[in-house]
Amino acid sequence: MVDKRMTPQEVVAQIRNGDTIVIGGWGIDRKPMVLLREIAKSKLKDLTIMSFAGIDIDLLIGAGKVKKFIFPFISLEGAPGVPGNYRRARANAAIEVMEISEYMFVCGLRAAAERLPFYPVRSGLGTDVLKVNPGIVTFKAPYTGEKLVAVPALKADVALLHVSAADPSGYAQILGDPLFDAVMARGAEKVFICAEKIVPQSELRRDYDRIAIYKMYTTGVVEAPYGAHPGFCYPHYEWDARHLTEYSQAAADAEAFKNYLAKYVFNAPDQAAYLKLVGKA
Amino acid sequence: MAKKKLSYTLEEQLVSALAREFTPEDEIGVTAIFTFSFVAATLAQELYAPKLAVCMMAKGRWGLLNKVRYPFEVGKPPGQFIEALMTMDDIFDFLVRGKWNIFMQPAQIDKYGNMNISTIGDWHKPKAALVGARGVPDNTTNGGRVYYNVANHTNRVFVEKVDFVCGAGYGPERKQGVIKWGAPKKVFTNLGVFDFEKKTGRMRVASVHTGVTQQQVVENTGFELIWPKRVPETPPPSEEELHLLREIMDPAGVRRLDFVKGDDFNRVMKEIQTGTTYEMVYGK
Repeated sequence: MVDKRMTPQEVVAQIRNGDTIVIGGWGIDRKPMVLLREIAKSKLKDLTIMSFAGIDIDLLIGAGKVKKFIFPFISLEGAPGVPGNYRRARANAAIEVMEISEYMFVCGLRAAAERLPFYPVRSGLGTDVLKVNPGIVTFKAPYTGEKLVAVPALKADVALLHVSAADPSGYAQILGDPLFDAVMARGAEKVFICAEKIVPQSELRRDYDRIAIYKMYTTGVVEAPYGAHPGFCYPHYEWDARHLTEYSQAAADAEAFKNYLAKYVFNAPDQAAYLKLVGKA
Repeated sequence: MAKKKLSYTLEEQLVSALAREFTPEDEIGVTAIFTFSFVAATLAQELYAPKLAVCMMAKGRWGLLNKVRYPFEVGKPPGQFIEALMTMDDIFDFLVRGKWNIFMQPAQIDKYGNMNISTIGDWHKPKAALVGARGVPDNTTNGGRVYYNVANHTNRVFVEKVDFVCGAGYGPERKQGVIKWGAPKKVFTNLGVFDFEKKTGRMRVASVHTGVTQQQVVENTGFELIWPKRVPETPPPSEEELHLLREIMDPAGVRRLDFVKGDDFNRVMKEIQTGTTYEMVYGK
């Protein structure tokens, strides 16, 4: 067996400036926060981020890492409103944005995973999504002649995911909604999986049905308890409403967010130190 | 025999009006959680749509729920209400198959039923960046029936032209038959119910609620509505509906939450969580 265990630092060392990164999860559900904080700490820049977004993209924008953002929505769910780093970046037109619908996003991922140039959808017709994305074209369907939208493949250099458990070879188990993590993994060049725990293969295969990502797609696995904090990872923990509120308040102001980064990102050399800071140790 | 005059609240009238939109053929309904529209879908299951399952977060996935009784914690419906669990992937399957009937809440809506939850101002440099297009472009081209809810009907929401079209209303593509599904059917607000005129695709007054004046509707709408010659009053809830709502399904009054803010909201939440009605439903 090839042992794919690595540290967050080793993951970040495999990411290049200008890479396109797809982030697993949805909103604040199963976001690989340990890896994202490591990116925030690094010298990486000019990243393109694709995500069903929540705190993930807001943190990376706040840390100055994002050149372009491809997304259908951004929501913190547990805390009120849309997070501040994103709002400021939009108000100042400081990042490039590709806004598409949820199903267009899903189908763009599918196209990438299937090595197709595009996926046909009806979504987007009659809306301004097509107006602000002149690169997304419509076409006349063969056989019926109806007008459809060709969603371009959303290819990624790197996929960053968070799951319940993984084994050292790279099989990964998701106990909540598997969401679109597997299709993200299939469409990315490198796939790094953060897991609440890393267990021997003999333990993982007691529940074959919950294996959501196969080792053939996995580049590396990282163990990180509470790795999705302050979001949630079912059934291990719920979202930390207090920390999300603290995050929201900090993100609302550029200066306050610098302090947030200093306190929770730069001041925490590893996940154990972070968990002490947020009261989860 | 003279009809007994019922007393009822705005949210009860709205819940009743929404519930009556469901039919015996309907199989899935989805609404934002813990709003009057969710209570309406549950009421519809009892009275108008026996096949209907209501979609809600449950057990880390999505539940198809039936015979729901309130209250319970968001995302944690008790097991006896859950018929089946599904994933987000299944949800999109239902949507593109056209089985999905949905209630959504616009930040802006215009006279042709175009709706916006993405950005206020110029999209390239927005005054306010909201949540984003989400699944609205998907629902308004693939969906079953699409409804919009507005708890606070003002001319900031009802605008001449939306700043960004997330949801396709009755524009040229709909008229030409390019878009076949997911047309917005009605808009339910705290002032009235609105539908769309077939010929022009423009928003029309279907009814105004008890105690609401036509002037109130005009003053709070940023475009010219089509008015019928005689403006009907939104039908009152029936005695059976009120009994089910107040005594059986929602004694704690989750249906009120859309219409209270700030301290009032906190008070109602506390009532829901700790009131005697809660104990009445679930015991101590």
